Amino acid sequence: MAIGTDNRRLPSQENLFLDYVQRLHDHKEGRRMLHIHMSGLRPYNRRDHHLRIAANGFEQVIKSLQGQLFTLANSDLILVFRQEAQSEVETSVVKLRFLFGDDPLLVPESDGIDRFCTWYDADARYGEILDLARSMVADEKAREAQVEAEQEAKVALRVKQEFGEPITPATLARLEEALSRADLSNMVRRQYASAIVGSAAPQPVFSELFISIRDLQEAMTPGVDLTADRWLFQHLTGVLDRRVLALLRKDDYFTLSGDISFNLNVSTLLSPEFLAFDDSVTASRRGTMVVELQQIDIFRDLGAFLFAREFIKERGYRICLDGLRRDTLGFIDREGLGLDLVKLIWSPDMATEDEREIEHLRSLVARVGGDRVVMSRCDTRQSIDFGQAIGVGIFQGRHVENLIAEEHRKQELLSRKRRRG
Amino acid sequence: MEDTIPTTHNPTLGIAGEEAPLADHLRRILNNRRGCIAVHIHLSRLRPYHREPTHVRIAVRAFEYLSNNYDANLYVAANCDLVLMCRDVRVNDIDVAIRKLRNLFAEDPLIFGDDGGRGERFASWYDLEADHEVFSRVLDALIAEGRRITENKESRGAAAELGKPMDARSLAAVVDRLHHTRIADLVSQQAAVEVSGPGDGRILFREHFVSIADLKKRVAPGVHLLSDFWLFQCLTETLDRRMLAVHGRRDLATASRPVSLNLNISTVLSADFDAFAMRIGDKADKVVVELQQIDVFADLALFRRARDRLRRDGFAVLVDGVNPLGMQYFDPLMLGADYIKVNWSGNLLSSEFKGRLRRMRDAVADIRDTIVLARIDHEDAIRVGMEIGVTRFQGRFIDRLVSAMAADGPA
Repeated sequence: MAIGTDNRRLPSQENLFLDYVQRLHDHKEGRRMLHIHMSGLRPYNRRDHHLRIAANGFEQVIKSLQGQLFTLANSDLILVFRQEAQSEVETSVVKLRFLFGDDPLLVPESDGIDRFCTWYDADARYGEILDLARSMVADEKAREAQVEAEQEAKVALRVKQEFGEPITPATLARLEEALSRADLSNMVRRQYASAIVGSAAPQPVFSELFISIRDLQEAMTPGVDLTADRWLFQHLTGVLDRRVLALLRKDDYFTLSGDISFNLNVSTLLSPEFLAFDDSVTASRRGTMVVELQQIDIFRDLGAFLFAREFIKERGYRICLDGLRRDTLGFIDREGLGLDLVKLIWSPDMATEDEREIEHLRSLVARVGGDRVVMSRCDTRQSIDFGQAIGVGIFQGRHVENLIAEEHRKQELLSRKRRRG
Repeated sequence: MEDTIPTTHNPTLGIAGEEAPLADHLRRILNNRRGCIAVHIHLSRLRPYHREPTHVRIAVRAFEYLSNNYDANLYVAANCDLVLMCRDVRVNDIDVAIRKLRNLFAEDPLIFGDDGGRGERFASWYDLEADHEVFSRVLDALIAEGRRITENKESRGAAAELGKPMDARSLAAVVDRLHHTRIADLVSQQAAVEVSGPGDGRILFREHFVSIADLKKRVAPGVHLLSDFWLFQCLTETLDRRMLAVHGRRDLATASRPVSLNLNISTVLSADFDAFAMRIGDKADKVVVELQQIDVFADLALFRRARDRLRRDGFAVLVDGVNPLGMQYFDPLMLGADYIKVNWSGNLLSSEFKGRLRRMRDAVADIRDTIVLARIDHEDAIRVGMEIGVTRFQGRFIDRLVSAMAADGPA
């Protein structure tokens, strides 16, 4: 069993445990259970590597199919094993006791109760085990909800605090002037749109290059909310488009690995700047580029949108329609509009428990094609869970970045371990 | 054909027309025309919005492959027509490029009205071995056309008259001026009518608006207000507030028919609008608020908030600027508006081709009672409108009907 560096990424461990216990009902004879209260250890004894070492201690029992290990979200370990392995398990526990010997949890108290390990006979105490598993699932669910609520609230607060003075034409004029002299290359961000199936590691599909509006705001117009006026903001994106194109023409961006995407206005696609960019790109490279168009451009001038689409498609670029929300997803005839991908913006108010609404969203996603929908702005776990529930296959956002970073760390650890033999 | 070809000017691309080099080319091959083909692509027959400089430049690109890999040359005439001259190139290979162009301009009536058969109006093919004489006459016509365009200074003069493109700085100045300018006397009106039978019409509402030309004269002489779409939209936010200030309770009480006002969604959700609503009180049912399609789709949730806010006080809600083409892609019924204004375009007239009319009729079947077909300049537009089941119209042609109605008695 894989040991994650972040137990929160494997929340179903509690569910798996409950599921296992329920199935255990018919063959509980000769089975025992060990609950190791890692959560009771001092924090300095509960770091990732401690948990890993503790779990590794039972590797032999698990490999010989004599036992099953669950790593719970609170770091506790639960091992269900055949009684034949009793002595082997005890040996491992002795090692663990030695390892954590300095922890107050392991100091024997007058009542003689072992606070580190609890042993169960699965047959005799089955009801107790079942209750334990059920309460663990309930606790974990509550904890998750709490964390999510906190995270969503935090995200909302952060957005709110970023609000400053609304942008005015005069501020925009000053910003444009400053932009013409500024080097924007350090404001370009890269974020991966990744396929995520179940709780498996994200598989990058392409990476989006964009100028972070927040960075821009902080660096050039502190205290001004650049997005406060929709029309002025749209104008600003047109200005930034040209800068992105200029940056992309620099060699270092061409050597970026993998498929890339970038946002452009339709009016930019029909500008001399884009034609010059197109000339500088080799035909084979165009196939690895995804042009992201805003849905607002369809409604601004559908004729121009269709013309531009035909033009860039013919040149070999792929097209992603950005900016869809729950209520506009249904408007979009992806194939009719000749789009390769569409981006659905996650927002916390999208989450619903209403089965009918979920079913409705699922049918909308299915109509577009789940593997053609990218859910963006996934800053929390909840967004990915919900996206998966409605059939979305590709995700993008801060939480996805975290998962990718985590996966890298995990792979690094694994390969280090392998080298050590 | 003349011996010396005058230099022509292509005002769209701002470069010389290539009639002279084309004539040279033709002269060079005159004695060895075996395998030579000329294809004349009539970009000048496209609608003006498909003849912008970029459209032409992009169209030219479709022939890059041919000119790089075969004995093929492309010439761009002063009127933006393209002429491809080639030797020993398979018709199928040329057709690939032409087909690309057809896809690009698929939404132009020239293309979808063209059956691609004998009477093809987009591209004319000439076997120069046999049709050499015919093609010479085509070239002569192109040269004459090029000369006419070159001598016609009007087109270049018009651009100068529009003024300097508006940028953020000049917008700031215009907005500032607009805040302190009286605009009540600039407000014009145009009626929307419901036609129930021949010569039988009733006024639905009168749209109150400020013409861009008048606005420009008063607050922005020398500035091309429409040069940047988004900046102009931003200007309308200030215009909204000025329009709200102009309209008071008394005018609405005396108006025989409702008045319609164009507003941004952000305006409807602002304190200025709350003040306006308070001022007019129970006369809200005399006001239709027109919201732009792009504003609606930019944030549907915000639109719903504005729509519900308007409904609550008794205002009617109109979604303006819906593209007839767009109705193939989305269902306007979902918007829950009282009226949907669709701008008439030549595309609708040409929709008589290829079953487009039937598709249009199907597309509007559910909402025909909410549709107002606008920008009606000609009787034909009403005829096509009625054919697809629409009975409400607005536009210059309707204005004439309205004055005739007024002469007959109050509407």
